[in-house]
Amino acid sequence: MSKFLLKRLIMMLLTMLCASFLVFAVCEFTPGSVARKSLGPFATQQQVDILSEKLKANDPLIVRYGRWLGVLVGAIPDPLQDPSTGLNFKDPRGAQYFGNFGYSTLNKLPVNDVIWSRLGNTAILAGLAFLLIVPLSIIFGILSGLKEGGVLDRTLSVICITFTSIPEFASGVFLVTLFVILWPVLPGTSPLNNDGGWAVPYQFVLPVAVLVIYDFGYVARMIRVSMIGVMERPYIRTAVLKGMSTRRMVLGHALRNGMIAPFTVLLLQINFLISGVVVTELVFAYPGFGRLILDASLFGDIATLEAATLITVAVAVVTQLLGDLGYMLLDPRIRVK
Amino acid sequence: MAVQDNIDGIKVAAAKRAARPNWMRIFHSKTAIVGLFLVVFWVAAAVLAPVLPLPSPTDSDVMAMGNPFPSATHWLGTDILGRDVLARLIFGARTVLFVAPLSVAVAMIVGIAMGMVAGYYGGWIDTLISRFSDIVLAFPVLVIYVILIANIGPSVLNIVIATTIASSPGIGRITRGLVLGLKEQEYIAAAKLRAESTLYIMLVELLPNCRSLLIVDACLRIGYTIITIGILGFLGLGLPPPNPDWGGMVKESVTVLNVWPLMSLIPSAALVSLVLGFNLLADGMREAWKP
Amino acid sequence: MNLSVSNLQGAAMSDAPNSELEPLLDIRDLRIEFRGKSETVVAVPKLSISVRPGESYGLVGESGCGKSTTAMAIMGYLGNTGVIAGGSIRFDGKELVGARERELRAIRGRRIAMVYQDPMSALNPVKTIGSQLAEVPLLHLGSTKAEAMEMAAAMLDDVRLPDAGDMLKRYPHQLSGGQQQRVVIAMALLARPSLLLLDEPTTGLDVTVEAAVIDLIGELRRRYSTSLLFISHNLGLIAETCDRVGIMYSGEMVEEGTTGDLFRRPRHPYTQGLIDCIPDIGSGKHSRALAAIPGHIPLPQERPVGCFFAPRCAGFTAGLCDNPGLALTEAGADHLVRCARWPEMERSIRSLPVERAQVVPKEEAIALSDVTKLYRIGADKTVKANEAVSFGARKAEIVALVGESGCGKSTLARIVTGLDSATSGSIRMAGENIAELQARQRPRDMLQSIQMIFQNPDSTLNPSHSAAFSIRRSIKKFGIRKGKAAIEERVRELLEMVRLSPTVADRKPNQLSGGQKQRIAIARAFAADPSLIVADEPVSALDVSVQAAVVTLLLDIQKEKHTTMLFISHDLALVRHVADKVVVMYLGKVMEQGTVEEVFGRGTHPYTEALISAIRSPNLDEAPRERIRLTGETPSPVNVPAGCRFATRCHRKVGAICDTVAPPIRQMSETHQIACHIEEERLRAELPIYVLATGGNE
Repeated sequence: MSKFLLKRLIMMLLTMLCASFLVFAVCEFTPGSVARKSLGPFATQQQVDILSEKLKANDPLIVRYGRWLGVLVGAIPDPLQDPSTGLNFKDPRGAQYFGNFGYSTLNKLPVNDVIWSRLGNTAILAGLAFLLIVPLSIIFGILSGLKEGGVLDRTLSVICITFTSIPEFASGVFLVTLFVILWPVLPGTSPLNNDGGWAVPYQFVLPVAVLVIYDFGYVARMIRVSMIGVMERPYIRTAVLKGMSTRRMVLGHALRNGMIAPFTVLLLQINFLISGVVVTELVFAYPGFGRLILDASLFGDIATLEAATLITVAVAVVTQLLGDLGYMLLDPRIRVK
Repeated sequence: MAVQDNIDGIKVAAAKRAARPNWMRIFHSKTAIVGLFLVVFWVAAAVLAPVLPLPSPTDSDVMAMGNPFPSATHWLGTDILGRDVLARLIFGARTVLFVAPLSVAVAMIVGIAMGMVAGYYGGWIDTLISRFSDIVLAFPVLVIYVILIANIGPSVLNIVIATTIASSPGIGRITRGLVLGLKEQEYIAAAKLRAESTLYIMLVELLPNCRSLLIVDACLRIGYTIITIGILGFLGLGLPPPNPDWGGMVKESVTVLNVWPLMSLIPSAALVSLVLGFNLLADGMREAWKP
Repeated sequence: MNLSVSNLQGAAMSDAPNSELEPLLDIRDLRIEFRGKSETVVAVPKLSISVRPGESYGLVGESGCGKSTTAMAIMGYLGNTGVIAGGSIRFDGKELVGARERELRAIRGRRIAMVYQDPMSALNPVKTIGSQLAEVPLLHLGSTKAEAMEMAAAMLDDVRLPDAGDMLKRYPHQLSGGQQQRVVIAMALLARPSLLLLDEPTTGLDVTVEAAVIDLIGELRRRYSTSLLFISHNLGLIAETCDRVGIMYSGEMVEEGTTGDLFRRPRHPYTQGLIDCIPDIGSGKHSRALAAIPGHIPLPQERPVGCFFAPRCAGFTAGLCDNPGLALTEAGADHLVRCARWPEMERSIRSLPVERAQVVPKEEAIALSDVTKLYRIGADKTVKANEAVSFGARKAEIVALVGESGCGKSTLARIVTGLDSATSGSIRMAGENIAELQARQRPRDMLQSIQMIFQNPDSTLNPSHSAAFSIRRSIKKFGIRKGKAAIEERVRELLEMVRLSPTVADRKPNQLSGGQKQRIAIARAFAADPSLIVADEPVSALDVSVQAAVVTLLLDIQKEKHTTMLFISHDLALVRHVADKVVVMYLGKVMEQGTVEEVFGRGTHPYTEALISAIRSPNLDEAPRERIRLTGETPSPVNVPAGCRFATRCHRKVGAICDTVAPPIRQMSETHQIACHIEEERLRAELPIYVLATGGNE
């Protein structure tokens, strides 16, 4: 087991390395240089060039990537924080430490000051959404899958398919129209402070609703397919012909087998909820991780983008690992030889 | 819970059904028909756009600016810049129904090739392709799009590239799974015994048996790509103006949501209806083609 | 002790159930329909069966005859579309048709239990054996969990599974097929039901494992006085295990009676045909032809008026046989027949004039020498699929490769054809050594000369293409004919050769029956005009009557074209009929090889003895001298025993030497070799398992 975990850990690090390098490479295409972004649009070209020299921004890609990696692990100090640049970028934690994601040229702050709180906000949103998605999708999925083609199945399926067709901005717009404009019971933005006069908990309702609407249908369909597959298996017939009532058979056999595959799917939703919710955050002005990625991409703030990439990939790999572990736990065919 | 092996009579009927081209079976499913109707509606709108009696989607009608209510000249009103909403809707369908299927088609070709090679050869090729796919799949799809488009700029080509990068690993995985199962079939061994080339086996013996599943997946992906294009438009990463873009339309009118909600709701509804069409169609196809 | 012999002489194990007792299961005029969205199919029009207490009733029929449907109807489990549209099923006096769900639940598993065909899928893979077994007493006997587990452990002992305590915690995938079936049997008998339904319980199990399972069922049913409804397509099995038999054809009962009477004096032409389809131990292809029943089993909508079998019956008489309302009539004490002309239907014993045994040319067509195939799995484990396999086949000879699962015969087939390559050894054919050459490395003419017929008719043809597609490709690739017209003509010729109408060529495989698909597979193999054909279980997946027809066809073609054939099978009776030479394999090694008379005759390897003694024949006068029951399981090919591979289960083990030293090859005659530690004289001294009535052996 420990060998397995070690192997996965190495894979994770490799994946993170590859992903961060790829992002670095893609960012090459962005117009504008780090120097320009640090100094702002009003600096002269000459000042920009001097700074670029100082930052060695014209070195080949690999070298610059290596340098970034070095800063990250604490091997070298962040060149942007070098006082000789005159930029006055200060990081209270120092210029050289492990986990130094560098300096955000967009926010004029150390990345570490920006990213973690945003991640935390999104985590809250994701957590709330997840808490709703899990029971909803399980109920819909199981009820649909138990009797394929039945009235319940058809009704629930149509609901699920319809909801997966409604992207977040569409449902956002619709819900806001309904609950903010026509019938003002909820806030239209969720900046997570009390400035607008709405208590913070109310600010979660609509963003969570939008996320849940879009996502639970997909998971429910996955669960449905799994349940249908299980109900066709011969061991269900064995259970029934042993004299089991439907209820006992479902609880004792069908669910047990039918939830193995969906378990992984559910976990992967965490992945989506952490990183893919940029639209919801934009619609509701929610200070979250997704918006951070968007803003960083648009501006070309490589440091923040790289940091976000690493976190995203880490979350993805960890959820995948948890999914695989869960699979091993639930399915003895994999666990025991 | 059907007693499958003994329903010979129904098997005969099924065999007769199978003799008909399998496209016909779709019409047995109500969901498929509704989906098909929605899709055909928008495709017709997109195709007929230039000949329909619509005002121009890009000209601003200064007089009727910002009037979302239906009027004689503007059946669905105008947006904040005075452009006709209905025209923009229909021309927007044109854009989206060109870009999305194109992107998915390219992604399919790349993905199927990857999956076939990985599944058929196995070994280190499989490991390499699968590892690479894992890296790409580790990113939530939207992040890939955002990072790519923000950096290389929005254009049809770039959206195709982004879709290919984002979608082909998933398609590859499905294909690989199918091929892994199929390559042990005896007719593949028979093909090897008559010196058929690997390319032949992949294209002629394996691919046709993956067809129905891949078509269903493609349909779903088109729906999803339409959503993504809409989201890109909403984020400001859509195709540059003046191309009418449903997501862009929502973005522009969201600022005035509290005054003219309809302006945002209409393009949203349009997008939802088209995606719903593809999703229902895919579901109907899946039902019809179940083995 | 490895020896376990039960002296069962042939037929019915009638413990003389008292025929005056009320029947335990009484089915009268049962009508089962399947109501689809647009059509209704009558699976079973009118069926009556009765099973008396303590009796074992065998229900025999080929696919589509409705026997499994009937079992499901008894249990009340016909699915969403199945309906009992008429008739009654009385169990112990209680009417089951229309009974409430709760009543059915009380009976299922408790009074009537079921054993299924595929034990692996009948068990839930994620629950332990113990928990699945314990469900029965928890449901029906009101036990506590602890009590239920104890009962489960006791039951595992009863079914002879070792180490019950450990077994309870294991999962189904950790057990072998035979062990899984024992668990299913244990589960069924836990609540001591009065009636046990068995739906093809041993299909898919190795013959030696099957024999043990059948023994077990017999022993347990006698102990618990359970009645059996035994459903199978295997006539021989039914003949030896059941008291009474019912033959079903296309949903109808066509003949019913006590086993002894029915198999000795079958009255219905279908029964006679079925029995004649089965090869027997005493004669090969030169002295007997397998019967072929022309035509096919009618689907429910194709059933003619009157006798369903009429279109295929040689004795069809218009006016008599097509009268509606043909009923079962008495043809003797406790013997019913549904035939209008039964007194005149005499069984014709089909035997050919004893031919001069064909002069087989002496030239070697293919010679295998020390062929070994090892697979590496993981870092340190090796699977020894084949080791030092040596034998040869002469031109136009049929060499049969026999063995049970894991013996390596299929791997060997793949190596010979080039789908796999050997790790070492040589296979010489036409002067070349092809052992380590895979198909794509072989020269075109070599590839053309070795073709293969596969096992599974459902996957032998590509479902997306027409049936003749691969035949056309083969003709084209090997340049046999050029040009579309010439190719089409050749396709027509080939289809005619396998007795198929040319309209079949453009149909899709899912519109064809198993027999038709397998014929196309034969046509495809011969399309390349090969000199060697490897047939890997070519008929195992087909109905009995279809098997006979396809085998006969294959033999005819082979004889005409002088093709050498490597015939792989686990069915020894079939091998006896088909082969000229036999090679017996066990766990990757050759145990014995010789002419078919030698291997089936006097002085054979102990494993061959056990295999042959497991053959069951519907010919009740053909009884084995003794039934050899092998204990234990086949070892895994990863952990092969040192010394003789068969030593762990051998009933004639010499001693410790068998476990440590590899056995020497005993040359019993010029053509006959046995790998065994027993000396030649002692081997020769053993009588053959089957003492043949007529002695009509060549």
